[in-house]
Amino acid sequence: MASIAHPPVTARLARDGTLLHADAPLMRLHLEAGGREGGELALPPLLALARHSQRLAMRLSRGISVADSRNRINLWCELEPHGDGVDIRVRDWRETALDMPDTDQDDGGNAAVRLSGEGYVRLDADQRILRLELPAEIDRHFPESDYLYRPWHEFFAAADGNSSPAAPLKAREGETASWLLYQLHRVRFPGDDRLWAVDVFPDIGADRQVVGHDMVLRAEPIGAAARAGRVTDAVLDRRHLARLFGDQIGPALRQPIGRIIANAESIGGRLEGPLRSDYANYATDIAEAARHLLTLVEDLTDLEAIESEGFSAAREDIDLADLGRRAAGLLAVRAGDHGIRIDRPAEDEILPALGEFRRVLQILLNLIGNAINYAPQGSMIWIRLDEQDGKASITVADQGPGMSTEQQSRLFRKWERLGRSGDGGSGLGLYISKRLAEAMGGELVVESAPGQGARFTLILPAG
Amino acid sequence: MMASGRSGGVGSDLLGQALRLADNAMAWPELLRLRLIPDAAMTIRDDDFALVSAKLHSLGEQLGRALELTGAIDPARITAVLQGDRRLLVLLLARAVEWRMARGASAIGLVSPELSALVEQQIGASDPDLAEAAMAVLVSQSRFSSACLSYRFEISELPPEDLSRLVWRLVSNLQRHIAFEPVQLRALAEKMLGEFDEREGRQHRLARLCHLLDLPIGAMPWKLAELGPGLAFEILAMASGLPANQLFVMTLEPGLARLATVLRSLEIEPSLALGLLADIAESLSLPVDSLPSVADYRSIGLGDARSVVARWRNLDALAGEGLDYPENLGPVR
Repeated sequence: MASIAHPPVTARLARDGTLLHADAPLMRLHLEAGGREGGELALPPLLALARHSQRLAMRLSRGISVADSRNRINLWCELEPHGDGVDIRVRDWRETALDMPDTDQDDGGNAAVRLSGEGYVRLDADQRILRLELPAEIDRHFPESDYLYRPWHEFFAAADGNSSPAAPLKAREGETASWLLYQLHRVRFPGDDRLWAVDVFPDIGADRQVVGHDMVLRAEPIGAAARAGRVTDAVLDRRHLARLFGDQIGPALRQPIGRIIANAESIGGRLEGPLRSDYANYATDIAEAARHLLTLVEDLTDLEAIESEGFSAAREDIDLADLGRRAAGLLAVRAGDHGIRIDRPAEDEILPALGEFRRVLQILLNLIGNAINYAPQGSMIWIRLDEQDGKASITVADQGPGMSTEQQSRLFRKWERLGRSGDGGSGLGLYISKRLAEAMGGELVVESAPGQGARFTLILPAG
Repeated sequence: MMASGRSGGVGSDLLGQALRLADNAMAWPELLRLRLIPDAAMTIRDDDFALVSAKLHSLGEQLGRALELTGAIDPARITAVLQGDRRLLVLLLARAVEWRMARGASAIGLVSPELSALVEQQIGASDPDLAEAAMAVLVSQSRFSSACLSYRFEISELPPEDLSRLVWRLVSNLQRHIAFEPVQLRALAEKMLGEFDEREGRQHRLARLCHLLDLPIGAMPWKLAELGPGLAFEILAMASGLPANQLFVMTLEPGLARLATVLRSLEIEPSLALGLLADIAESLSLPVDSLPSVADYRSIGLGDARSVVARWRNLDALAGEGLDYPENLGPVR
């Protein structure tokens, strides 16, 4: 049942969104939402409306909806911008008690996201818990009344063991709602020793506002937190990070990154209809950045694999000529986009060798991809085969700028990019390729000079 | 306002003609696209077109007066700039459809376009805010009817965002091509926008009434005669997140398939939804045998309907290409 409360409530924001003054009811809401006195207004719908009014430099009169722990509150706000900020007058303030949810009701959660983890939490737009799905051994400790409609950051104990609650999720300054991951958290449940990694996916609804959140939880091994010490140290511990990456972070990142790319490409390609050109360009940039991020995820996963104890590659009968043709074919379109032609091995050429098919293809894709990146438009890339003294080799030669002796000495180091940036590379590709070659009983060498292109040769035992 | 030392005015000279043609050239891709569509599923009626043209011209006149351009510029130039704004064209088309629907709804029991049963009921409400809001809707509906009858457009029909975009687009165009004193032009634009009060607007008042009514979707009397077109579509807009203008334009589509999908996404019961569609068809003289059946309506999966409407909402396929915030042209902050 709705009830009307409060006479007109006023507030004043500074130009940067700082709450300079608010009548008691609004200040209470601000503080309950995690705001602080003298801080930025912590009611996102009202802050967004105020900024909109400022940008337009026009008076606005709109309805918004916020909530506290017990009520949904519909506000009718009148905003007047001026040189120093925005004056707010809340003309209507109507509180409606929140109903207990129907467990069969669709609260909008994303089924695919839900199924991707061991635990799942559905939050509403104000980050309050609507649904909690945890393994039975934990779930039984938490009656619904403990968590339902409670802000999640109050419910979860802080991962570092302090009694203070974790911080609520906040989009970073200037960030708009998107499909991107907000933050990576670790949390503990009261009464459970395990550390849970939390991935958060915002749910975008009307007016591009967040209408809810899906939280997916994955348990880390018992004792992981103890071994790693403080969570912040554990996150920064590179050995620990490397262990986590292949098993947990890499797979956890691939799915949202894949969604980012798919959705951004849909937008950029205007597949659903016309779009402002700058927004389409932003979407294209997002897709490109996400592809780079995915490349980094793949590289880090490989890095973790090849640096682990006992890493070895299979020794299979492979055909380097066939692999050369395959790699050239996979990158033909990209080469064509750069106006570069790849001279691949002839169809009737064969060069037996011993190595792991997948890994050799990975190395060749790395070498040819680098050649495409650094070779000039309209140039050639050659793939040449050779056999000598029980060794089979495949060489990728380009007409790029070439490298000095000093650069060649650094080339295969981890994270080395020879001072280049913006090409999307992580600096791990050649390091990984060399380690893979060595794991297959071979080697990866380079021959180059400034102004004379580069020739990378993968040498493997002959088959 | 004219800057000294530069040629001004466009009159009927060749340069002015060239500038007008440059503005109109934006339409070429759309004209071509329409010719390429194999069979045009949608057509614009002559009466809708006439009202849109008249309102466009009327808006141009008012903006010209507000920016003190009357007599200093060919009005056709202002109109050319406005007609390049897609959002505005959709808004005007929506208003034309709404007006036609309001007049046609007398056949289904809407006694007058200004006063639907629900609004009339709220005018006598004990809640003073609700009564005041209902009265404000009545007044603005009356102004809307009067304006449509005399082929006028009231600037208060524009939301602040649209007015801001149009004004700054006009200022930008004039500053680039015409020798007007930029500082004074901007000052007039800022004054106009600063004085604009969206509370005078009909759409705003409809939204306010909806906010105060706060009825759940399931409790709405989904009859066009009860609600009136303006309020009915405002409620649908607030519930679905789609702009009301977009919903009005959906009524031009054969079979009202998209509108049916929106109703389905809101879980409106089949009998109520199809009743509303039938009312709309009746008021717009659409063939009722092309409307979806109960089986057709039920066959739309709820998840599918919500997903599709969410996509329409996120992308807003009728988005214009003008500036939403005049980052380079707006007020000095």
